[in-house]
Amino acid sequence: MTKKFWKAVRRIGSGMFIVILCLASFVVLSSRISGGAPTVLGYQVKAVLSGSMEPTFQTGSIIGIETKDKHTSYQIGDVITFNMDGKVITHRITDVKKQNGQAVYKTKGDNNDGEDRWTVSPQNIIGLYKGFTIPYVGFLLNYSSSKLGSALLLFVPGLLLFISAFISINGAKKELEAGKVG
Amino acid sequence: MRKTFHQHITFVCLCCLFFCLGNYLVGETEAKFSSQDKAQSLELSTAFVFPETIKHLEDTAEEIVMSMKKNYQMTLSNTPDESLGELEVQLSKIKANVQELYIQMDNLNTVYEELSLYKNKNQQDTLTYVHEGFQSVESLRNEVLATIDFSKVEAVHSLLEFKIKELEKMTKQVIENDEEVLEGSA
Repeated sequence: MTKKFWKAVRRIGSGMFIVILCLASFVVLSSRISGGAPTVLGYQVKAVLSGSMEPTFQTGSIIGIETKDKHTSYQIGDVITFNMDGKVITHRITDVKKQNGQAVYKTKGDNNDGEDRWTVSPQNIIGLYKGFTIPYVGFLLNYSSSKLGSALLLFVPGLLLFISAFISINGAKKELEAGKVG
Repeated sequence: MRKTFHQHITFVCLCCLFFCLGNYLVGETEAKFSSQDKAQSLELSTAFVFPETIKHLEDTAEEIVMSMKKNYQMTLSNTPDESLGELEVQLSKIKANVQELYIQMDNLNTVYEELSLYKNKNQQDTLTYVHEGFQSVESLRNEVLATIDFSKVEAVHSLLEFKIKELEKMTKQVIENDEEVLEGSA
C-alpha cells in the first residue's frame, strides 16, 4: 500500500516536473522569438546581483516582478524595477514629482545612504516588486551562466547519457551472447 | 537495477536542462549601490581685507609715530640762546620739522581712517585681525595726540622768530649807535 503510494507520488512529481520543464521551454522560446523578457503569468523573475535593497531582499536571491504598463501610477514606498543607463535596477520610490505633466519618481536603495541621482520616468519602469523572493537561487543561476557552469551543464548530462548508452549496449550484448549459448 | 539507473540519469539530465532554461528564464536586476551626499547649498565668501594689509597698515603707523616722536624731541631740544646766524639755521630746521610733523600727522590720520573703514565693514567682528589692527593703530594715534603738543612746537617756533627779531633789532641799534659815534667824532 505504502509502496504504491510512493510510486504514485513519484509519478505525479515526475509528470509535474516535465510539465514545468515544457512550460519553461515554451516561455523561453516564445520570449526569444518575440525579443522581450520572459514573462510567466504577468510576472518576470530577476536574480538580484547586489545588496543595496537588503534587508528587503538579499543578494543572490531571485525576486518576482509584476509587469506593469506605462500608465500605471506608483506610490511612495513601492519597490519598482526599471531600466536606467542600460541596466535593470530595483529600488524603492522615495518621492513622486511632476515633470512636463507626468509623474516621475525619485528612488533609493534601502541599504543606501542617499537618493539616486536620477529620476525614473514611467516609460522606463518594468514592474512592481510584490514581495516574492527566494534566497540563494540567484547564486546558483549566476554560477550556471558562467563559463564553467555552462560547460558542466553540458558535459555532465552528456557523460551520463554516454555511460547509460554504454551500459545498455553492454547489457544487450550480454543478453545476445546468453541467447546464443542457450 | 538497470531501469532505476536509467531513471536517475534521466532525472539528472532533466535537472541540468532545467537549469539551462532557468538561465534564460530569469533576468538580472541590480539593487545598485550608491553612496552620495545630498548637495547642500554652499556659501562662499572671501575676506574683504587680508591680514597682510592690516599688518602693513600697522607697521606704517608705527614707523610714522616713531618718526614723529623723534622730530618732536628734536624741535623741543633747540636752545634759543645762540647767535643770530645759528638761530636762523635752527629756525629753518624747526620750520622743516614742523612741516614734517604736520605731514606725518596727516599720514597717521589716513592710516587710521583706512583701518576704521575696514572696522566698519567688519561690524560682526568676524575678522579678528581687523579689530586688533584697528585697536593697535587707535592706541598709537591717541598716544601721539597726548604726547605731541603742536602748540608747544608753535611756541618754540614763535620764540625763535621773536629772538631773531630782537637780535636783529639789537644789531641794528648797535650799528646805528656806532654810526652816530663816528659822525660825532668827525
